[in-house]
Amino acid sequence: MMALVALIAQGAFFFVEAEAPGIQVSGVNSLTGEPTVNFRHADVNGNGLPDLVFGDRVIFQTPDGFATEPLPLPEPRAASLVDVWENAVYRLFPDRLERLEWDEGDWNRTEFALDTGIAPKGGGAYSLSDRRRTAPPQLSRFLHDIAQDGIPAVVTADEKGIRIYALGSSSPYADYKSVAYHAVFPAIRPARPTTPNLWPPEAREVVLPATEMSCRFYLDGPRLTVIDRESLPDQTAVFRITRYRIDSDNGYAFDPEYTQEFVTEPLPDHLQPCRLTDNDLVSFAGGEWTLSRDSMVPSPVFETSVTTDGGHTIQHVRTRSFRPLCLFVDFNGNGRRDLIAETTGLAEGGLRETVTRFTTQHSVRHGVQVHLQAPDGTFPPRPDIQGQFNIQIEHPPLQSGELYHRYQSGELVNLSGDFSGDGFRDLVIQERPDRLAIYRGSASGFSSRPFLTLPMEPGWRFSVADIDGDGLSDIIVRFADAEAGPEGEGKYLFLTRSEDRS
Amino acid sequence: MTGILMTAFAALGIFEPHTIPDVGPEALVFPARTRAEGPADLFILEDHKLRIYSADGGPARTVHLPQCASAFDVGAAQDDRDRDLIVVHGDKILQYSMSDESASPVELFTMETIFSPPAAQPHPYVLTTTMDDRTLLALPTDDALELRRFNGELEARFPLTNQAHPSFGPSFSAWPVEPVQTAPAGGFEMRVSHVYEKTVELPETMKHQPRQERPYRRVTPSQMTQIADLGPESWPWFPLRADGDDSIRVLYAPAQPDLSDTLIRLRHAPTDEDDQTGVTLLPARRYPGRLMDPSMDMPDFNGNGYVDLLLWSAPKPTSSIDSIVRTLIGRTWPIRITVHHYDPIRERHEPTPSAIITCRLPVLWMMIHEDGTPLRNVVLQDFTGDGRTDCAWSCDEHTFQVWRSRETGFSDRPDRTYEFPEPGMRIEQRVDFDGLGRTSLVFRGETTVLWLYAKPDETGQ
Repeated sequence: MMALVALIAQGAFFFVEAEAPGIQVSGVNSLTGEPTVNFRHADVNGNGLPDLVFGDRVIFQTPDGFATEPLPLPEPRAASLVDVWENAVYRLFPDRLERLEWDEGDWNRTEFALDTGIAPKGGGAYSLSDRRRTAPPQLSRFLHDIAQDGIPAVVTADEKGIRIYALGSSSPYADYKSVAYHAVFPAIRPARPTTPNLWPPEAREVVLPATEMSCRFYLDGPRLTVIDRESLPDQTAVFRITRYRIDSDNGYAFDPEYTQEFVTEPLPDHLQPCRLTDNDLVSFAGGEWTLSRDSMVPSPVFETSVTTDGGHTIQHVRTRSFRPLCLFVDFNGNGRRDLIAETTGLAEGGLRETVTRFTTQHSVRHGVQVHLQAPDGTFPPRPDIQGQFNIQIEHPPLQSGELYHRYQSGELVNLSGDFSGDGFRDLVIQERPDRLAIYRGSASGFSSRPFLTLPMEPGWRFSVADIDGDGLSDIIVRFADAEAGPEGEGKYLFLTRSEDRS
Repeated sequence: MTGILMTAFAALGIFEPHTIPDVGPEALVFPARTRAEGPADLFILEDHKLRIYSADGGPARTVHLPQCASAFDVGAAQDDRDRDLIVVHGDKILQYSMSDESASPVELFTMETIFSPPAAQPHPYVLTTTMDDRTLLALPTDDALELRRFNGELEARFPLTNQAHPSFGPSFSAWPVEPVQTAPAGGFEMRVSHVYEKTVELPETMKHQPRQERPYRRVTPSQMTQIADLGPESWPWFPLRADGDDSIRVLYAPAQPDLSDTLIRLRHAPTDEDDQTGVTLLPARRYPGRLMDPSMDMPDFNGNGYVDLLLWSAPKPTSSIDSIVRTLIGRTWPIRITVHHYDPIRERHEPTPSAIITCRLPVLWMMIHEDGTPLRNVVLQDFTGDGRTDCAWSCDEHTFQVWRSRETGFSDRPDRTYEFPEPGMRIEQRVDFDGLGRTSLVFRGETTVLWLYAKPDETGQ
């Protein structure tokens, strides 16, 4: 790792630099504001601090940070998927389940035969049987407590539905038996056809259309929800949402009195299902660019669309010329995700002002707006929270510098983290080429001055995620480094600490 | 005349313009032939309504397909009569007469096919084929392609094989959504996908002979800017011969320093791909302007069998604020298009352009290129069937201009200008409707289709 960057302490919070071996934060889900990471938290060594579990190793956390040397998981004898449950690591093989527990310096291994009953078809168990023996173990999900008894069931999917394996008895050495198979996925249907080939005569060929099925499903305790999307010819789509309740006292069969089906109104093609409200309803949201023809020179407008009532009412928020990194985050921590809009001052005013900015200005006036979600799932047309910030981009936009490109792609502004642990999202802005500033979010808006700052260097990029699992967001800085192995990327990890913890 | 407005001056033009109103953006427009002989017709499918327009401007015919119909074809029961419409509606195989709109459909027979499940909208598929000079219905089931007579009698059955993903990757996959998007926090969420395509082994006599595509190497406009710094082995190319023979390739790249000129190198290669000893790379020649991507159309403007060059160039605005504002307010910007013929005796594209065409384009088009050029709706095809490539494009949102290639070259003004019935129409199809080498064009707007039918000349050719 390169030279240590000075620790920054301001007020009750500060950063400490820590090792970040192999940690990746690969983006933020724009509909939930949650970052995607390549590890799972579990307190494997029982020291009270969450460790980082990867597909092939564990990195222990200590009060000072993370161990520099990862602890490898035992070499698997076949391709496997990896999940965690209550501080143990589980590996799923085509014919068995393995539990690994770290016990006084050694891995304690427990094996459960996977009594498949009717063997899954070719793609069963997430195509495990198709995976090459040498394929690296892959972090996945297959454990879920359907019976709500603290003992996880194994859930796998195949082409038609899900299979549930449950522990045969309370004995830790019992086998996992196939207890139910539910063919709940939508029927396979012809894929969207390609261009017709009825003319000329020599082009007429009998073509068998490809067939397809795709859906998403989720388990919430014993409740199973399947979401099927069907595209319509007019650039819209309807979603069919089917809910089941799995009765673990009745052989994991469905409770017939519970099953519900709901079909949305036709929704614009770019809307995706997501969870925005604090109730049990699935919402749909997305954003797209349009072109405003109000002015002499057409300018791009970003429109966020959302419905929380199955498409009966769709709300739209339009802003001039900026797509936020996150369209929705739970800004105030009340369990309801709020709508985020961002504006750029580059496009304000008349034609001459815009041209002048593009040709001469070295900074951008950037606006962040939060539309708080009301209890009824609606968003106010005007924002409840607003903030204006200056971002230096080194060169005028017309010169197409790196910082301007990063600004345009939404990389310099991030509202996904909570660095103070108060439930409000804080705003991270790379407001100068050499400085990252974090403005504290609250019910009254953003702080006028940053409550945390971090020095940056040219070419550094940042991500936000709670790496150490303490409830406070942390910063990962990435930079090109040819000597940093196959990734060609070096990283610094800055863990947020409060004076209480230190 | 139902739905078609024939323009009065059509008889004087290269194309007969047919304006078809009330066509929504979701409508499917495609050619198919309803008669045993003659040109193809233009079909417009919108929801379950099928409108059919003939090239001779006759009245449009309308067929209302049944709700939940999933597939249809324009196929003949007998080769010597007009085509009928074959429709799959659930398990029913229906036949609609194209010569009698008012006739009720005839139910030929019933059988379960992969098209039996109801669909939101029907789609055209090839459902008829010929075997031993007989026209048969070709209906895919879950495990076979069945050829049946029109009375339902099974004639042949070919098992379907090779279940595989149509492009790449596993046929079935399931992956966790982390972090969850629709599940509550801590929930378990997955996405699953199952995509497959079946294939059928048909007898040799029924096998389709795929059309030989002309070879070329193309790059994206953004890659084009990087090509300038790379060697000729990385350059895109197209065959010098208009017939697609690629033994001589035309390699091209933008020229430094500002990428506004084009470098051309000819590469002679032996027919044997493995024999690289006979490869000759001629020196680079520099032509002013940027090459319009020739890989789609490969123009041969003088009909000598070799692909010619079409380049465009435009003056640069100065970088002062006043100049940029003036440019934006002026709304248009000049562009110059040049044609360089290939001379097979000198083995080079002529350094002096054989034609220069100038026009003015909207400033926005200069900033946002489509397919690497600021022009829109560029078509380099033979519209008249004389073997010479003509050219056409839009210089504004309201018109489409056509330059006809003659023995004397191009004139400096367009031969014909066609007005769009609504602004901003885009080319959707280029079709030879009568199989005589004349390319017709179909444009789409938000509510209108403009069909420019390449009409026969006075001799009927």
